Amino acid sequence: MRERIYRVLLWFFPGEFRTRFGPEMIATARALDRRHQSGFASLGRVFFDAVMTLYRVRQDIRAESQNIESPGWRTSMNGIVQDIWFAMRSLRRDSLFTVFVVATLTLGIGVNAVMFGIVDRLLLRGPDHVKDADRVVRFYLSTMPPGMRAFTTSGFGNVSFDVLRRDRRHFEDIAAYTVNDAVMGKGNDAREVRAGYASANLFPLLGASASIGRFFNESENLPATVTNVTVLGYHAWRTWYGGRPDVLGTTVTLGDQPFSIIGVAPRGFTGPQLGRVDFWVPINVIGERMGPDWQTTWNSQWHQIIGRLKPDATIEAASGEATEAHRRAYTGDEKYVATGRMFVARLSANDAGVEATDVTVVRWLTGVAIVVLLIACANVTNLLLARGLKRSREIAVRAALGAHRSRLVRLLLAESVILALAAATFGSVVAYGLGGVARQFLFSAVEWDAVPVDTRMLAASGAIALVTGLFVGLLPAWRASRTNLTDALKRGQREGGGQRSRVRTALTIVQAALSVILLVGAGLFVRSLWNVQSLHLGIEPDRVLVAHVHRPRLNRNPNARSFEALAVERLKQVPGAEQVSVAVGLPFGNRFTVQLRVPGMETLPRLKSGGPGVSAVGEGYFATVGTRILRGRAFDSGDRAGSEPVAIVSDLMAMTFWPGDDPIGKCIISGGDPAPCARIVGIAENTHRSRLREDPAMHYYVPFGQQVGFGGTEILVRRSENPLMLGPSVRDALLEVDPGITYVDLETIQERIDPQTKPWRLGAVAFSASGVLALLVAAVGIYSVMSYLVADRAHEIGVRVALGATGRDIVRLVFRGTIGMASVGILAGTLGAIGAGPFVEPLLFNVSGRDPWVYGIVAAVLLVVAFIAGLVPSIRANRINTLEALRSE
Amino acid sequence: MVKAASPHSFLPLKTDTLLILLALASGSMHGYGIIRDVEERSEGEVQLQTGALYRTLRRLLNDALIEEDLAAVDDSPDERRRYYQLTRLGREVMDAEVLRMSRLVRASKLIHAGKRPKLV
Repeated sequence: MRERIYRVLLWFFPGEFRTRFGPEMIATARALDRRHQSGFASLGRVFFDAVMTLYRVRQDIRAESQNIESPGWRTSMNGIVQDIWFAMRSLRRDSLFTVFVVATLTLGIGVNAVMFGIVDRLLLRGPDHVKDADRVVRFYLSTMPPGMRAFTTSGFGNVSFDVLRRDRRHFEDIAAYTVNDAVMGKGNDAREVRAGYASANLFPLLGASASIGRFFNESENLPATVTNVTVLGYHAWRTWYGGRPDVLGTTVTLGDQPFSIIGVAPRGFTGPQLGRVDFWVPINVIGERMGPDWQTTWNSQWHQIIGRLKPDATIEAASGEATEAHRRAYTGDEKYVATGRMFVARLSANDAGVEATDVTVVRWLTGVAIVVLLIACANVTNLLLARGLKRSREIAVRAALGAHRSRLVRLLLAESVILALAAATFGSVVAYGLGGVARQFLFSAVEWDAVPVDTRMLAASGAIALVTGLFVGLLPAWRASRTNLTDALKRGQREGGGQRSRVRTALTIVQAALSVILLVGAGLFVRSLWNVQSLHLGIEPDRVLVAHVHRPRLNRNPNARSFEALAVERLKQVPGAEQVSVAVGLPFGNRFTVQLRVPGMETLPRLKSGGPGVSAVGEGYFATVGTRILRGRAFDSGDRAGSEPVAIVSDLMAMTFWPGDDPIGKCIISGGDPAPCARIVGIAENTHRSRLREDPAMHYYVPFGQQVGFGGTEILVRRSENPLMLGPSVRDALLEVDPGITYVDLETIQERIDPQTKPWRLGAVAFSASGVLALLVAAVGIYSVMSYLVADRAHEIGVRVALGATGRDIVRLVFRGTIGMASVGILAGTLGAIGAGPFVEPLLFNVSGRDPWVYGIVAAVLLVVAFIAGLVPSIRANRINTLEALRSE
Repeated sequence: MVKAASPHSFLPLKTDTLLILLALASGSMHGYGIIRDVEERSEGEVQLQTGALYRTLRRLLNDALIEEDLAAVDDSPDERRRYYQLTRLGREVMDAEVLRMSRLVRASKLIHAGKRPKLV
């Protein structure tokens, strides 16, 4: 590496030096390469050395040619150090300017540093402890169920895993895992944890090794000899076990079984995904729970399968191999699964094998961050240009005293780079504070490093700062150094270059245009969020508390009155509980469909959304969740196990199955043939099945207790205001009913929906915040340009007043400038936003990317802001003393 | 190139320069050898960087403090390396610098003992 650095940079060295020492330097670098490791830091030193040598050798040679003593031979201060000193001194003199520029750049660099931290984890680096992550892929199966949309899943049964692993050709190895909630401990000490279930080869496949102890081995995961062993996640080990090494060999209760701790995962290890994992256990521990035929069934899917590609394998070849294996091995009943297509994709893809929404949103946020930085740059360039004008006299004096032009440019560049580096320092502090908040608020499911600022991020913000410094400084420095000597000296402080203010006007327009783009984005996302929140879901998710109760199977007494009935009775006495009910299958979490027949119909009508779905609900369910009964009746206390089978269908199902006919009194047979005919007694309004954005889906309800073929009860408590407040009393009441409860999981239905609204919340927050900041910066830009123009044209304004112009004329003159800049900015920004519209539209919710309201409001806001920014300069213009302005000539 | 003959015109030397001269005082060496020598004798504390080394060697050659040792035989056949050795002037400069430093050390010891010695 050293050798390569010197080899490349040697090209820039003066020929004399290169021919004389080049080969030797390369040989020496090669010798050093052989002996020293090249870490990040040491390579940085090498690079610095090469660049500094290049600079100094040039200096030496120039000095020799002029036969003067070179700086740097005896004095410790060489040119660059001198420049830096000088720049710092001059920046300190102009402290207001410095503070403003550093603040603006801090904003731009800080936001980008935060985004880099997030992008680095989500896109660039992936999960920790995964070696060569770009060769690790996840398996997917894409099928086309008849009459429905194509469906892609990453869930597989054990049989798929066995087949794929046994017949692999393009993979070094294939492993399986799944991550789920589990309960650790018992009674009051119980807590919910994240359990990772993994095949034994997952860890070597990823390239991870235990930090203490060991991971489990193949024999501990073989179906015949599967063992209750567990590997602690590093975080769990530190927080719950105090990081003690003697946890090895102790036992922990997970679910209702004891597990023996055999190791601790390395710090930050989360397997092939990004969420925290507290315990790793052999995946076959849960095999039996999937039914007695779990090893061979095609009907249950609980494995995520990943593989490591061989070095020469391509994604296409690997996908082809998987499809072939799947089709050869499939022995299930579903024809569309038999012809399914398998493929593999990188770990950053989501469950459906496409880019995760988080990742898409992150891409957009990165764009926003860059726009903020651009605005900051435009603003700072503007200020530096103004400063260059003010200093033109000083610069002219320096040039007259013999300063070389390149030296002047260097001096001015040193200033802007120092400003940017200072901003990077503050930006890192901002990133430290903001980064933690942003990560927790926006991506709470991801296991982040403890500190939101690491060396990679510092290096990135340093690089951003350097580029920014050069970028903003180059134009002003070049312009300032071009100052015409005699003119500048003669003219004194007065200045009259129309060209310079044109550049500044252009920069201000750029700022205004970029602000418009950000504000339009903010408007579109806010409208989307508003549309999402006012969406009629058919339920009132923020008024329903859902209790999911974990009880050991052993405690259950089939003869006693059911736990659920007792729990409902007890919960009705909890103060604040308005309604209580139970349900098997709730909106936004219900995927139950069971076999359905309707006497008199050969084939059932189907919709794209599939279904119809089914749930079993108790008395009072509809009042509890807020679903209206359109006709007929809801279930009452007489509808239960053993009573006459009845059903309630959704409006959509009624219209699809019996168009133009009254479904009430009709009969459906749910859950297989022995089931008796259920009479339809009511029609309920439509509800969402699982997504905010979905095709309308059919649904029907059976009374709790009459369900056949599905299960998993949840207890519902309604409270109109903040139902989570009821949490503790609900938990206590349930423990009273059954003290054997291991854990009660409480959340509102809203909390189950929230992850789906995240993209819009994220977009609305990020665009609004950056839009407002951008607007402020643009306003300051307009203000400073106009103030400058007024000062610059004081003479002209004085002449105009002397010739009879009224105060109104002068104000008009100023406002023509501000409104003109704002209008051009609005126009450019609008065009830009319309151009970007088609790309954002998929992220919006029922809003067009060209929504005229949003554009109109943004334009109005910008005009108002421009007006305010122009007020002060126009007042100042009116106060110009004609006599003085003319006299200063 | 016309140069002042007096060794004192080169003083004070930068640390790197002095270290290189000291390394060469024990015999002729090639560039990599100098880096190794300085590193070993400082127990890894001082690591000369390649670029800085050759820039200094160039200056020392131009100022005739060192010269190429054409008699030295290259031990590795695949890489042609040049050996450098001190000139008389180079040795004088080195000695002068060492003398200057030892005086400073002596003086500072005396100051420490509460005396007021001449500093140079």
